[in-house]
Amino acid sequence: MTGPEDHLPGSRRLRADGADAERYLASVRAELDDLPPEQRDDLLEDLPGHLLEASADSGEPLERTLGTASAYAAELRSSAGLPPRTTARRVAKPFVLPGAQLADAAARRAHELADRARETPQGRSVADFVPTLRPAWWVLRGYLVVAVPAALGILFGIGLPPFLTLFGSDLLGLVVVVAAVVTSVRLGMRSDRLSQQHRQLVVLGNVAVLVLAMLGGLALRERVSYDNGLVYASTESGYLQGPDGGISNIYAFDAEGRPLQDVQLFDQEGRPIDTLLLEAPDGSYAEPVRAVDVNGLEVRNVFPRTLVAETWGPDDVQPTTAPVRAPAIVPRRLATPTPTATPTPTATSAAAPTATPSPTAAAGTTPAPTGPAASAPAPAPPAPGAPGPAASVPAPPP
Amino acid sequence: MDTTQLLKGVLDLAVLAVVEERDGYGYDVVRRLREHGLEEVGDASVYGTLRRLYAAGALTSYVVPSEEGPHRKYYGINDAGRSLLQSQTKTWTAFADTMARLLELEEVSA
Repeated sequence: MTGPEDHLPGSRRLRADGADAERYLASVRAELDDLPPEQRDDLLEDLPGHLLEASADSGEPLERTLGTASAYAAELRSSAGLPPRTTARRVAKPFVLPGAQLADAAARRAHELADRARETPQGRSVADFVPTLRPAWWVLRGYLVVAVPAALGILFGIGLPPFLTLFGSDLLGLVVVVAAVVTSVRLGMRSDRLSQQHRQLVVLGNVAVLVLAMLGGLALRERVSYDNGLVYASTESGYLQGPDGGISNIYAFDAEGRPLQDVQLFDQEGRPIDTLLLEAPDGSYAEPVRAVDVNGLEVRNVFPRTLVAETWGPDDVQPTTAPVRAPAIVPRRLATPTPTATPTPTATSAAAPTATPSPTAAAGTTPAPTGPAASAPAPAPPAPGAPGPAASVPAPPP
Repeated sequence: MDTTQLLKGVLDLAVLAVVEERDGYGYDVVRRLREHGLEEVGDASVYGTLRRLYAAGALTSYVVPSEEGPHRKYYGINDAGRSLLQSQTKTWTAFADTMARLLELEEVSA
Protein backbone atom coordinates (compact mmCIF):
# COMPACT_ATOMS: atom_id res chain seq x y z
CA MET A 1 0.00 0.00 0.00
CA THR A 2 1.30 3.40 -0.91
CA GLY A 3 0.27 6.95 -0.29
CA PRO A 4 -2.09 8.87 -2.50
CA GLU A 5 -0.80 9.84 -5.85
CA ASP A 6 -2.66 11.25 -8.71
CA HIS A 7 -2.84 8.33 -10.98
CA LEU A 8 -4.02 9.85 -14.21
CA PRO A 9 -3.51 8.06 -17.49
CA GLY A 10 -3.31 9.97 -20.73
CA SER A 11 -7.04 9.79 -21.26
CA ARG A 12 -7.23 12.97 -19.23
CA ARG A 13 -6.70 14.97 -22.43
CA LEU A 14 -10.44 14.94 -23.03
CA ARG A 15 -12.35 17.69 -21.32
CA ALA A 16 -15.09 16.88 -18.88
CA ASP A 17 -18.59 17.98 -19.80
CA GLY A 18 -19.57 19.66 -16.57
CA ALA A 19 -23.15 20.38 -17.59
CA ASP A 20 -23.69 16.78 -18.58
CA ALA A 21 -22.24 15.54 -15.30
CA GLU A 22 -24.43 17.96 -13.37
CA ARG A 23 -27.56 16.84 -15.17
CA TYR A 24 -26.71 13.22 -14.66
CA LEU A 25 -26.01 13.81 -11.00
CA ALA A 26 -29.35 15.55 -10.56
CA SER A 27 -31.15 12.64 -12.17
CA VAL A 28 -29.37 10.12 -9.96
CA ARG A 29 -30.17 12.23 -6.92
CA ALA A 30 -33.82 12.33 -7.90
CA GLU A 31 -33.86 8.55 -8.14
CA LEU A 32 -32.67 8.39 -4.54
CA ASP A 33 -35.18 10.83 -3.15
CA ASP A 34 -36.92 8.19 -1.09
CA LEU A 35 -33.84 7.94 1.15
CA PRO A 36 -33.46 10.10 4.25
CA PRO A 37 -31.67 13.27 3.15
CA GLU A 38 -28.54 12.70 5.27
CA GLN A 39 -28.11 9.20 3.95
CA ARG A 40 -28.57 10.35 0.39
CA ASP A 41 -26.17 13.27 0.71
CA ASP A 42 -23.65 10.99 2.32
CA LEU A 43 -23.96 8.49 -0.50
CA LEU A 44 -23.62 11.14 -3.18
CA GLU A 45 -20.79 13.02 -1.48
CA ASP A 46 -18.07 12.09 -3.97
CA LEU A 47 -20.22 11.53 -6.98
CA PRO A 48 -19.77 15.01 -8.59
CA GLY A 49 -16.04 14.55 -9.00
CA HIS A 50 -16.50 10.93 -9.89
CA LEU A 51 -18.88 11.75 -12.73
CA LEU A 52 -16.69 14.58 -13.96
CA GLU A 53 -13.81 12.22 -14.27
CA ALA A 54 -15.90 9.57 -15.97
CA SER A 55 -17.06 12.22 -18.41
CA ALA A 56 -13.50 13.34 -19.10
CA ASP A 57 -12.36 9.77 -19.51
CA SER A 58 -14.73 8.86 -22.31
CA GLY A 59 -15.56 12.25 -23.76
CA GLU A 60 -19.04 10.92 -24.39
CA PRO A 61 -22.37 11.68 -22.74
CA LEU A 62 -22.56 9.89 -19.40
CA GLU A 63 -25.87 8.35 -20.29
CA ARG A 64 -24.08 6.46 -23.05
CA THR A 65 -21.13 5.25 -21.01
CA LEU A 66 -22.86 4.68 -17.68
CA GLY A 67 -26.41 3.81 -18.75
CA THR A 68 -29.52 5.64 -17.60
CA ALA A 69 -29.45 7.53 -14.34
CA SER A 70 -32.13 5.26 -12.90
CA ALA A 71 -30.09 2.14 -13.70
CA TYR A 72 -27.04 3.84 -12.23
CA ALA A 73 -28.91 4.74 -9.06
CA ALA A 74 -30.25 1.20 -8.73
CA GLU A 75 -26.73 -0.20 -9.03
CA LEU A 76 -25.51 2.32 -6.49
CA ARG A 77 -28.16 1.22 -4.05
CA SER A 78 -27.58 -2.49 -4.34
CA SER A 79 -23.79 -2.23 -4.13
CA ALA A 80 -23.95 0.18 -1.21
CA GLY A 81 -26.29 -2.21 0.59
CA LEU A 82 -29.34 0.05 0.48
CA PRO A 83 -32.88 -1.16 -0.16
CA PRO A 84 -34.32 -0.82 -3.67
CA ARG A 85 -36.32 2.25 -4.46
CA THR A 86 -39.69 2.64 -2.85
CA THR A 87 -41.98 5.56 -3.39
CA ALA A 88 -43.97 5.45 -0.17
CA ARG A 89 -40.98 5.37 2.14
CA ARG A 90 -40.55 9.06 2.54
CA VAL A 91 -40.94 9.88 6.17
CA ALA A 92 -42.71 13.19 6.52
CA LYS A 93 -44.27 13.57 3.12
CA PRO A 94 -46.37 16.75 3.19
CA PHE A 95 -49.05 15.36 0.95
CA VAL A 96 -49.36 12.89 -1.84
CA LEU A 97 -50.71 14.27 -5.05
CA PRO A 98 -53.59 12.26 -6.39
CA GLY A 99 -52.30 10.07 -9.15
CA ALA A 100 -48.69 10.87 -8.26
CA GLN A 101 -47.86 7.28 -7.48
CA LEU A 102 -49.38 6.26 -10.76
CA ALA A 103 -47.26 8.83 -12.56
CA ASP A 104 -44.20 7.61 -10.69
CA ALA A 105 -44.92 4.02 -11.53
CA ALA A 106 -45.42 4.89 -15.17
CA ALA A 107 -42.17 6.87 -15.29
CA ARG A 108 -40.28 4.02 -13.65
CA ARG A 109 -41.80 1.52 -16.02
CA ALA A 110 -40.71 3.67 -18.96
CA HIS A 111 -37.17 3.76 -17.57
CA GLU A 112 -37.16 -0.01 -17.17
CA LEU A 113 -38.34 -0.46 -20.71
CA ALA A 114 -35.65 1.90 -21.96
CA ASP A 115 -33.04 -0.01 -19.97
CA ARG A 116 -34.19 -3.29 -21.41
CA ALA A 117 -34.33 -1.86 -24.92
CA ARG A 118 -30.69 -0.82 -24.59
CA GLU A 119 -29.65 -4.46 -24.51
CA THR A 120 -29.94 -4.72 -28.29
CA PRO A 121 -28.34 -2.35 -30.81
CA GLN A 122 -31.66 -1.54 -32.46
CA GLY A 123 -33.29 -0.95 -29.10
CA ARG A 124 -30.44 1.28 -28.13
CA SER A 125 -30.85 3.45 -31.21
CA VAL A 126 -34.56 3.82 -30.46
CA ALA A 127 -33.91 4.50 -26.79
CA ASP A 128 -31.36 7.11 -27.79
CA PHE A 129 -33.62 8.66 -30.37
CA VAL A 130 -36.81 9.05 -28.36
CA PRO A 131 -35.36 11.48 -25.78
CA THR A 132 -34.24 13.77 -28.59
CA LEU A 133 -37.91 14.42 -29.30
CA ARG A 134 -38.42 16.01 -25.90
CA PRO A 135 -37.87 19.63 -27.04
CA ALA A 136 -40.58 19.15 -29.67
CA TRP A 137 -42.93 17.99 -26.96
CA TRP A 138 -42.07 21.01 -24.81
CA VAL A 139 -43.01 23.34 -27.65
CA LEU A 140 -46.22 21.47 -28.37
CA ARG A 141 -47.11 21.46 -24.68
CA GLY A 142 -46.70 25.22 -24.47
CA TYR A 143 -49.05 25.67 -27.39
CA LEU A 144 -51.61 23.21 -26.07
CA VAL A 145 -51.66 24.80 -22.64
CA VAL A 146 -53.07 27.93 -24.24
CA ALA A 147 -54.93 26.52 -27.19
CA VAL A 148 -56.82 23.73 -25.44
CA PRO A 149 -58.56 25.84 -22.78
CA ALA A 150 -59.28 28.52 -25.37
CA ALA A 151 -60.77 25.98 -27.76
CA LEU A 152 -62.82 24.41 -24.99
CA GLY A 153 -63.98 27.84 -23.93
CA ILE A 154 -65.26 28.53 -27.40
CA LEU A 155 -66.86 25.10 -27.59
CA PHE A 156 -68.81 25.55 -24.42
CA GLY A 157 -69.72 29.10 -25.13
CA ILE A 158 -67.65 30.85 -22.51
CA GLY A 159 -66.19 32.82 -25.36
CA LEU A 160 -62.57 33.12 -24.39
CA PRO A 161 -60.50 35.00 -26.93
CA PRO A 162 -59.64 32.65 -29.76
CA PHE A 163 -55.95 32.08 -29.24
CA LEU A 164 -56.09 29.57 -32.03
CA THR A 165 -55.74 32.15 -34.75
CA LEU A 166 -52.01 32.16 -34.46
CA PHE A 167 -51.33 33.78 -37.79
CA GLY A 168 -54.44 35.87 -37.92
CA SER A 169 -54.58 39.34 -36.52
CA ASP A 170 -54.75 38.05 -32.98
CA LEU A 171 -51.59 39.57 -31.58
CA LEU A 172 -52.55 38.82 -28.00
CA GLY A 173 -52.97 35.16 -28.83
CA LEU A 174 -49.55 35.12 -30.42
CA VAL A 175 -47.91 36.76 -27.44
CA VAL A 176 -49.56 34.42 -24.96
CA VAL A 177 -48.70 31.34 -27.01
CA VAL A 178 -45.06 32.39 -27.35
CA ALA A 179 -44.84 33.05 -23.62
CA ALA A 180 -46.35 29.66 -22.86
CA VAL A 181 -43.99 27.88 -25.25
CA VAL A 182 -40.95 29.58 -23.74
CA THR A 183 -42.11 28.69 -20.23
CA SER A 184 -42.77 25.11 -21.23
CA VAL A 185 -39.34 24.71 -22.81
CA ARG A 186 -37.60 26.22 -19.81
CA LEU A 187 -39.54 23.92 -17.54
CA GLY A 188 -38.54 20.99 -19.72
CA MET A 189 -34.87 21.91 -19.56
CA ARG A 190 -35.04 22.13 -15.80
CA SER A 191 -37.11 18.98 -15.35
CA ASP A 192 -34.12 16.92 -14.26
CA ARG A 193 -33.45 19.26 -11.39
CA LEU A 194 -36.99 19.45 -10.06
CA SER A 195 -37.90 17.86 -6.78
CA GLN A 196 -39.88 14.68 -6.90
CA GLN A 197 -43.08 16.45 -6.00
CA HIS A 198 -42.67 19.10 -8.65
CA ARG A 199 -41.85 16.47 -11.19
CA GLN A 200 -45.03 14.61 -10.30
CA LEU A 201 -46.94 17.84 -10.74
CA VAL A 202 -45.45 18.31 -14.18
CA VAL A 203 -46.24 14.74 -15.18
CA LEU A 204 -49.83 15.12 -14.01
CA GLY A 205 -50.10 18.43 -15.83
CA ASN A 206 -48.81 16.80 -19.00
CA VAL A 207 -51.41 14.07 -18.70
CA ALA A 208 -54.15 16.63 -18.08
CA VAL A 209 -53.17 18.68 -21.13
CA LEU A 210 -53.11 15.63 -23.35
CA VAL A 211 -56.41 14.27 -22.07
CA LEU A 212 -58.09 17.66 -22.47
CA ALA A 213 -56.66 18.01 -25.96
CA MET A 214 -58.06 14.63 -26.92
CA LEU A 215 -61.46 15.33 -25.40
CA GLY A 216 -61.47 18.73 -27.06
CA GLY A 217 -60.65 17.14 -30.38
CA LEU A 218 -63.50 14.69 -30.03
CA ALA A 219 -65.96 17.36 -28.96
CA LEU A 220 -64.88 19.56 -31.82
CA ARG A 221 -65.49 16.78 -34.31
CA GLU A 222 -68.90 16.11 -32.88
CA ARG A 223 -69.76 19.73 -32.96
CA VAL A 224 -68.69 20.17 -36.53
CA SER A 225 -70.93 17.34 -37.68
CA TYR A 226 -73.72 18.57 -35.44
CA ASP A 227 -73.51 22.06 -36.81
CA ASN A 228 -73.63 20.92 -40.36
CA GLY A 229 -76.27 22.97 -42.16
CA LEU A 230 -77.01 25.16 -39.18
CA VAL A 231 -76.04 28.68 -38.42
CA TYR A 232 -73.88 29.69 -35.55
CA ALA A 233 -72.25 32.88 -34.56
CA SER A 234 -68.54 32.65 -34.90
CA THR A 235 -66.80 34.57 -32.18
CA GLU A 236 -63.78 34.51 -34.41
CA SER A 237 -65.03 36.72 -37.18
CA GLY A 238 -67.78 38.46 -35.28
CA TYR A 239 -70.19 37.71 -38.08
CA LEU A 240 -72.98 35.21 -38.29
CA GLN A 241 -71.67 32.12 -39.98
CA GLY A 242 -73.26 29.48 -42.10
CA PRO A 243 -71.75 26.13 -42.90
CA ASP A 244 -70.01 27.50 -45.98
CA GLY A 245 -69.07 30.93 -44.77
CA GLY A 246 -70.51 34.24 -43.80
CA ILE A 247 -74.20 35.12 -43.88
CA SER A 248 -75.12 38.29 -45.67
CA ASN A 249 -78.89 38.26 -45.54
CA ILE A 250 -81.87 36.75 -43.73
CA TYR A 251 -85.26 36.01 -45.23
CA ALA A 252 -88.24 35.50 -42.95
CA PHE A 253 -91.57 33.91 -43.72
CA ASP A 254 -94.74 33.60 -41.75
CA ALA A 255 -96.51 30.40 -40.90
CA GLU A 256 -98.33 30.44 -44.20
CA GLY A 257 -95.04 30.73 -46.04
CA ARG A 258 -95.55 34.35 -47.00
CA PRO A 259 -92.35 36.42 -47.11
CA LEU A 260 -92.05 39.05 -44.41
CA GLN A 261 -90.56 42.42 -45.17
CA ASP A 262 -88.76 44.81 -42.85
CA VAL A 263 -88.36 42.37 -40.00
CA GLN A 264 -86.29 43.71 -37.15
CA LEU A 265 -84.09 41.09 -35.51
CA PHE A 266 -82.84 41.15 -31.93
CA ASP A 267 -80.81 38.71 -29.91
CA GLN A 268 -81.65 37.32 -26.46
CA GLU A 269 -80.32 40.47 -24.82
CA GLY A 270 -82.43 42.71 -26.92
CA ARG A 271 -79.49 43.85 -28.99
CA PRO A 272 -80.19 44.45 -32.66
CA ILE A 273 -78.64 41.76 -34.84
CA ASP A 274 -76.70 43.43 -37.60
CA THR A 275 -73.52 41.42 -37.67
CA LEU A 276 -73.90 40.20 -41.19
CA LEU A 277 -71.40 40.25 -43.96
CA LEU A 278 -71.56 42.92 -46.61
CA GLU A 279 -71.12 40.74 -49.60
CA ALA A 280 -72.95 39.36 -52.58
CA PRO A 281 -73.15 35.58 -53.12
CA ASP A 282 -70.17 35.83 -55.49
CA GLY A 283 -68.11 37.35 -52.70
CA SER A 284 -68.05 40.88 -54.06
CA TYR A 285 -68.77 43.79 -51.76
CA ALA A 286 -72.43 44.65 -51.37
CA GLU A 287 -73.85 47.70 -49.66
CA PRO A 288 -77.22 47.44 -47.96
CA VAL A 289 -79.76 50.08 -48.82
CA ARG A 290 -80.13 52.17 -45.70
CA ALA A 291 -83.27 51.72 -43.65
CA VAL A 292 -84.22 54.63 -41.39
CA ASP A 293 -86.65 55.09 -38.56
CA VAL A 294 -89.16 57.91 -38.25
CA ASN A 295 -86.47 60.18 -36.89
CA GLY A 296 -84.25 59.58 -39.87
CA LEU A 297 -81.76 57.47 -37.91
CA GLU A 298 -80.30 54.44 -39.56
CA VAL A 299 -81.70 51.04 -38.56
CA ARG A 300 -79.36 48.25 -39.42
CA ASN A 301 -81.15 45.17 -38.20
CA VAL A 302 -83.93 45.22 -40.74
CA PHE A 303 -84.31 42.14 -42.90
CA PRO A 304 -84.25 41.04 -45.58
CA ARG A 305 -81.72 43.67 -46.55
CA THR A 306 -81.66 45.07 -50.00
CA LEU A 307 -78.08 44.65 -51.07
CA VAL A 308 -76.41 46.46 -53.90
CA ALA A 309 -73.27 44.80 -55.19
CA GLU A 310 -70.46 47.08 -56.23
CA THR A 311 -67.89 46.03 -58.78
CA TRP A 312 -64.88 48.02 -59.81
CA GLY A 313 -63.37 47.78 -63.23
CA PRO A 314 -59.69 48.64 -63.73
CA ASP A 315 -60.34 52.23 -64.81
CA ASP A 316 -63.49 52.91 -62.86
CA VAL A 317 -63.90 56.06 -60.90
CA GLN A 318 -67.31 54.94 -59.73
CA PRO A 319 -68.26 51.34 -59.03
CA THR A 320 -70.83 49.62 -61.16
CA THR A 321 -73.74 48.74 -58.97
CA ALA A 322 -76.34 46.03 -59.35
CA PRO A 323 -78.94 44.88 -56.88
CA VAL A 324 -78.22 41.47 -55.44
CA ARG A 325 -80.95 39.09 -56.43
CA ALA A 326 -82.83 37.30 -53.73
CA PRO A 327 -82.41 33.53 -53.70
CA ALA A 328 -85.26 31.26 -54.69
CA ILE A 329 -86.71 30.00 -51.43
CA VAL A 330 -89.58 27.62 -51.06
CA PRO A 331 -90.69 28.09 -47.47
CA ARG A 332 -92.77 25.42 -45.86
CA ARG A 333 -96.21 25.92 -44.43
CA LEU A 334 -96.46 25.04 -40.81
CA ALA A 335 -98.91 22.38 -39.64
CA THR A 336 -100.36 24.13 -36.64
CA PRO A 337 -100.01 27.83 -36.85
CA THR A 338 -100.70 29.27 -33.43
CA PRO A 339 -103.64 31.59 -33.63
CA THR A 340 -102.37 34.35 -31.41
CA ALA A 341 -99.08 36.00 -30.97
CA THR A 342 -97.10 35.55 -27.82
CA PRO A 343 -96.79 38.84 -26.08
CA THR A 344 -93.58 40.77 -26.38
CA PRO A 345 -90.88 39.51 -24.03
CA THR A 346 -90.75 41.68 -20.96
CA ALA A 347 -87.06 41.53 -20.33
CA THR A 348 -86.06 43.60 -23.32
CA SER A 349 -85.02 47.19 -23.09
CA ALA A 350 -87.49 49.90 -22.34
CA ALA A 351 -87.33 50.98 -25.91
CA ALA A 352 -88.66 47.63 -27.07
CA PRO A 353 -91.58 48.01 -29.38
CA THR A 354 -94.79 47.28 -27.61
CA ALA A 355 -97.11 46.59 -30.47
CA THR A 356 -94.86 44.55 -32.67
CA PRO A 357 -95.30 40.85 -32.90
CA SER A 358 -92.67 39.02 -31.00
CA PRO A 359 -90.49 36.43 -32.55
CA THR A 360 -91.37 33.11 -31.00
CA ALA A 361 -87.99 31.85 -31.92
CA ALA A 362 -86.48 34.32 -29.48
CA ALA A 363 -83.56 32.54 -28.08
CA GLY A 364 -84.08 33.54 -24.47
CA THR A 365 -84.00 29.88 -23.53
CA THR A 366 -80.49 29.29 -24.70
CA PRO A 367 -78.07 31.44 -22.80
CA ALA A 368 -75.08 30.38 -24.84
CA PRO A 369 -73.94 33.47 -26.69
CA THR A 370 -72.52 31.36 -29.47
CA GLY A 371 -75.66 30.14 -30.96
CA PRO A 372 -79.07 31.64 -31.15
CA ALA A 373 -79.52 29.21 -33.95
CA ALA A 374 -81.58 31.05 -36.46
CA SER A 375 -82.54 28.04 -38.46
CA ALA A 376 -83.36 27.75 -42.11
CA PRO A 377 -86.36 29.36 -43.70
CA ALA A 378 -89.10 27.88 -41.61
CA PRO A 379 -89.24 29.91 -38.43
CA ALA A 380 -92.71 31.13 -38.04
CA PRO A 381 -93.42 34.17 -36.02
CA PRO A 382 -97.17 33.93 -36.07
CA ALA A 383 -97.60 37.37 -37.37
CA PRO A 384 -101.13 38.59 -37.14
CA GLY A 385 -100.71 40.53 -40.31
CA ALA A 386 -98.26 42.96 -41.73
CA PRO A 387 -94.75 43.12 -40.33
CA GLY A 388 -93.87 45.63 -37.68
CA PRO A 389 -94.79 49.17 -38.60
CA ALA A 390 -91.92 51.50 -39.00
CA ALA A 391 -93.53 53.92 -36.61
CA SER A 392 -92.68 51.82 -33.61
CA VAL A 393 -89.08 51.27 -34.50
CA PRO A 394 -86.90 51.95 -31.51
CA ALA A 395 -84.01 54.23 -32.04
CA PRO A 396 -81.03 51.98 -32.46
CA PRO A 397 -77.84 52.66 -30.67
CA PRO A 398 -75.46 54.71 -32.76
CA MET B 1 -21.51 -16.81 -19.08
CA ASP B 2 -22.41 -13.36 -17.85
CA THR B 3 -19.29 -11.85 -16.36
CA THR B 4 -21.21 -9.08 -14.65
CA GLN B 5 -23.10 -11.68 -12.59
CA LEU B 6 -19.82 -13.29 -11.52
CA LEU B 7 -18.36 -9.89 -10.72
CA LYS B 8 -21.12 -9.13 -8.27
CA GLY B 9 -19.97 -12.00 -6.07
CA VAL B 10 -16.31 -11.02 -6.02
CA LEU B 11 -16.44 -7.23 -6.23
CA ASP B 12 -15.75 -6.75 -2.52
CA LEU B 13 -12.67 -8.90 -2.83
CA ALA B 14 -11.47 -7.15 -5.97
CA VAL B 15 -11.97 -3.68 -4.50
CA LEU B 16 -10.21 -4.64 -1.26
CA ALA B 17 -7.30 -6.04 -3.23
CA VAL B 18 -6.95 -2.95 -5.37
CA VAL B 19 -7.10 -0.61 -2.37
CA GLU B 20 -4.63 -2.75 -0.51
CA GLU B 21 -2.23 -2.36 -3.39
CA ARG B 22 -2.47 1.43 -3.15
CA ASP B 23 -4.89 3.99 -1.67
CA GLY B 24 -7.33 5.33 -4.19
CA TYR B 25 -10.42 7.46 -4.75
CA GLY B 26 -13.57 6.18 -6.38
CA TYR B 27 -12.91 6.67 -10.03
CA ASP B 28 -9.28 5.73 -9.62
CA VAL B 29 -10.36 2.35 -8.22
CA VAL B 30 -12.70 1.84 -11.18
CA ARG B 31 -9.87 2.58 -13.56
CA ARG B 32 -7.42 0.26 -11.87
CA LEU B 33 -9.90 -2.61 -11.75
CA ARG B 34 -10.32 -2.19 -15.49
CA GLU B 35 -6.58 -2.05 -16.03
CA HIS B 36 -6.37 -5.34 -14.16
CA GLY B 37 -8.70 -6.87 -16.72
CA LEU B 38 -12.11 -6.49 -15.03
CA GLU B 39 -13.34 -4.37 -17.88
CA GLU B 40 -17.01 -4.90 -17.29
CA VAL B 41 -16.93 -3.60 -13.75
CA GLY B 42 -19.79 -1.19 -13.17
CA ASP B 43 -18.94 2.37 -12.23
CA ALA B 44 -21.79 2.67 -9.78
CA SER B 45 -21.07 -0.75 -8.29
CA VAL B 46 -17.52 0.19 -7.40
CA TYR B 47 -18.63 3.52 -5.98
CA GLY B 48 -21.31 1.85 -3.88
CA THR B 49 -19.01 -0.93 -2.76
CA LEU B 50 -16.41 1.55 -1.52
CA ARG B 51 -19.08 3.38 0.46
CA ARG B 52 -20.37 0.14 1.95
CA LEU B 53 -16.93 -1.21 2.89
CA TYR B 54 -16.12 2.14 4.47
CA ALA B 55 -19.39 2.14 6.40
CA ALA B 56 -18.65 -1.42 7.53
CA GLY B 57 -15.32 -0.26 8.95
CA ALA B 58 -13.10 -2.10 6.50
CA LEU B 59 -11.68 1.06 4.96
CA THR B 60 -10.36 4.39 6.17
CA SER B 61 -10.83 7.57 4.22
CA TYR B 62 -9.28 10.98 3.94
CA VAL B 63 -9.85 13.96 1.71
CA VAL B 64 -7.20 15.30 -0.64
CA PRO B 65 -7.61 18.68 -2.31
CA SER B 66 -7.36 18.66 -6.06
CA GLU B 67 -6.28 21.54 -8.28
CA GLU B 68 -8.91 20.74 -10.84
CA GLY B 69 -12.43 19.92 -9.77
CA PRO B 70 -13.73 18.95 -6.34
CA HIS B 71 -11.74 17.42 -3.51
CA ARG B 72 -11.19 13.70 -3.66
CA LYS B 73 -11.96 11.18 -0.99
CA TYR B 74 -9.25 8.58 -0.85
CA TYR B 75 -9.83 5.17 0.64
CA GLY B 76 -7.20 3.08 2.34
CA ILE B 77 -7.39 -0.34 3.90
CA ASN B 78 -7.23 -0.88 7.69
CA ASP B 79 -6.75 -3.94 9.87
CA ALA B 80 -10.38 -4.96 9.69
CA GLY B 81 -10.25 -4.64 5.92
CA ARG B 82 -7.08 -6.63 5.72
CA SER B 83 -8.51 -9.55 7.69
CA LEU B 84 -11.65 -9.38 5.55
CA LEU B 85 -9.44 -9.49 2.47
CA GLN B 86 -7.60 -12.50 3.85
CA SER B 87 -10.69 -14.52 4.65
CA GLN B 88 -12.33 -13.65 1.35
CA THR B 89 -9.18 -14.56 -0.53
CA LYS B 90 -9.24 -17.97 1.15
CA THR B 91 -12.87 -18.51 0.26
CA TRP B 92 -12.28 -17.49 -3.31
CA THR B 93 -9.19 -19.59 -3.78
CA ALA B 94 -10.91 -22.64 -2.38
CA PHE B 95 -13.91 -22.04 -4.57
CA ALA B 96 -11.81 -21.43 -7.68
CA ASP B 97 -9.79 -24.59 -7.01
CA THR B 98 -12.95 -26.59 -6.63
CA MET B 99 -14.31 -25.23 -9.85
CA ALA B 100 -11.03 -25.85 -11.67
CA ARG B 101 -10.91 -29.47 -10.47
CA LEU B 102 -14.52 -29.98 -11.42
CA LEU B 103 -13.89 -28.71 -14.91
CA GLU B 104 -10.72 -30.80 -15.29
CA LEU B 105 -12.67 -33.92 -14.30
CA GLU B 106 -15.22 -33.07 -16.95
CA GLU B 107 -12.45 -32.72 -19.50
CA VAL B 108 -10.87 -36.06 -18.53
CA SER B 109 -14.09 -37.99 -18.56
CA ALA B 110 -15.21 -36.44 -21.83
